[in-house]
Amino acid sequence: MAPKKSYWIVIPLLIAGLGWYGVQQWNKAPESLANTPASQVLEAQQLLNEFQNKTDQSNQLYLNRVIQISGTCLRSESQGDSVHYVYLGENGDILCQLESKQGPLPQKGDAIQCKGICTGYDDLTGGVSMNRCILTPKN
Amino acid sequence: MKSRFNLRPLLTPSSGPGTAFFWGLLLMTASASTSLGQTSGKYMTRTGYANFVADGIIKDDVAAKTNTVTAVLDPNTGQVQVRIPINSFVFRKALMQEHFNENYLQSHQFPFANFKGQVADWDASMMQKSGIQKIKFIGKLEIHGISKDVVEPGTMELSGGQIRMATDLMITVADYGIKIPTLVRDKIAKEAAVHVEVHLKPSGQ
Repeated sequence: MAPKKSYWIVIPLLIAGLGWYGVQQWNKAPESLANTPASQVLEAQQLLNEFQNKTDQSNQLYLNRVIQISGTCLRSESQGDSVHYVYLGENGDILCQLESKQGPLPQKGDAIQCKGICTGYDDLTGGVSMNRCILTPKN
Repeated sequence: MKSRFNLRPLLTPSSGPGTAFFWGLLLMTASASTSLGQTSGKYMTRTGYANFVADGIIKDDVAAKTNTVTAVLDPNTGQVQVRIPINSFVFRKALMQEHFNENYLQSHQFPFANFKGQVADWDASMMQKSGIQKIKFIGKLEIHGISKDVVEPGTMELSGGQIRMATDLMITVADYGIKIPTLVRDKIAKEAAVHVEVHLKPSGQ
């Protein structure tokens, strides 16, 4: 009889545990990309050239993926305290919105490495944008 | 009537270093204006703001925002183009963001929401007026690969050499082929309230 009685304790506990886990998963905030490996690592200008010359192929490779680019900062700017941008590429055509401010923003001419989600090539402006970016130390 | 300036010697392709310099300059100017492309002489931004709220009967914070909206305005004609990268919308909940991109908006297939149209009754004097002007956007709104004719109210304000444009609109999700599973239909509204706001600067700034 003793084992049957223990079911009445274990099963509700399991259900409650699963429910709690489900709620935790549902309410989880988007994670930082700091520990997410990049699916592609390339030069900023190369990314732009590929999108401009082979948009469909580049969408397959980069769109919605975590990628890491390196290049020279053309300029950086902020909107209020929480929105920060860094522009890379010869004409600043690659726009990276930072996930958060990680120290002082890079200045014009700084060599930087940036990891983020590629949100695509915009033929309206001829630029590529990335968001949730984090600046990683240049190797 | 005779022109005060005699252009003929400059326009005649004769030999000589001065003329060669002139033609070279002309060619360089032409190629530079071509490379500026479609945004030359226009007002634009790549850092516009958009958000939406689509909470259903059961409130679950179905809302997201983005700060990478692209917009271009032609001040001569009042033509407007707006482009929003779907995957740039940030939610408070990671799973909601994942479902939004993968199941509802399919951002891998339809990476942008687009508006292409016109400010109604546009005239050049609108670029001189101070204060908030009420305007109407008329054009085609494309979301999830489906394009619809829209007329939406908005505002426009000139300030410090920039043009601020904003609009609030309601989007019926079913109109754009976005299917909401039965399981979550009480959590997600049939209509999403969308706000878009851009600060346009002369291109090249």
